[in-house]
Amino acid sequence: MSEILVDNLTGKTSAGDITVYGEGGTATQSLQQGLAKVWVNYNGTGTIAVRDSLNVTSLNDTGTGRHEYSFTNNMNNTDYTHIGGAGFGSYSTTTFSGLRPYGISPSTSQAGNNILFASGSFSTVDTEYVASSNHGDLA
Amino acid sequence: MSTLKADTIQNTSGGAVTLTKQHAAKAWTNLNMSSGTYRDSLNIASATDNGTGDFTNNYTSAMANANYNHEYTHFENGRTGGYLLSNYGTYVTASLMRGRARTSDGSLIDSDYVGLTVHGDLA
Repeated sequence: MSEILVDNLTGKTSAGDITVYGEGGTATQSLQQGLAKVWVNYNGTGTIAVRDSLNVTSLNDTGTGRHEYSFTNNMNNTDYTHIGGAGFGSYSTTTFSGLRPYGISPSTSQAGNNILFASGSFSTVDTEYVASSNHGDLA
Repeated sequence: MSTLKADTIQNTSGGAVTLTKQHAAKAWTNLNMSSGTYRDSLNIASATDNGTGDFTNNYTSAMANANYNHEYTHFENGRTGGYLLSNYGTYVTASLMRGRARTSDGSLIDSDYVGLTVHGDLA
């Protein structure tokens, strides 16, 4: 097995575009497009706090079940994808929580999570475990 | 600090290079179901509209099998809740992923935003 030890990988023709082969050895895709540009794992209860993250500079509590995190390096546009999940610290068979991205006007500098609690109907709630990620283009 | 400049990277057998305990997503979407268009995506050839709240993402490059990971969420402006349900079996194959978006009362709805990421092996 060969191994290259290097600190930075840069596209030769275009700095932000390196092509990699898929596991089957035929299909190719952009390495940069496949990398998550933002991810965060935080405690959404009490004084909310980030456990670990990538490209997140701050996390703000904007209301019950509503949190916003700002990017260290901004996204290039607002067309990035945003997925995530949320959960309580204890297991329940009758209730569950879910996460939706919120923000009628998406931003290139921050993303928001809305934690929803379901037990017959939806309402917002703070949960111990919240995780979300964003893929797309960095500025 | 060293910098390697290259346009394409392969392993010595011509396959996928190992990214030292990291894996890149093989597909992702920002889909507007209401209009049936992607705001942006990776490795998505097209969306098939199967009816209200029912859509299929068709991959440009197929996955190696149907055992890949896919995660998603959806958001309908002005609504307080909702969830996205996909059905495995015939609805998640190496070449497509079909899902349904529902409101909190279970009704199918064309959601304004559907985010999806896929991790696994490309064919």
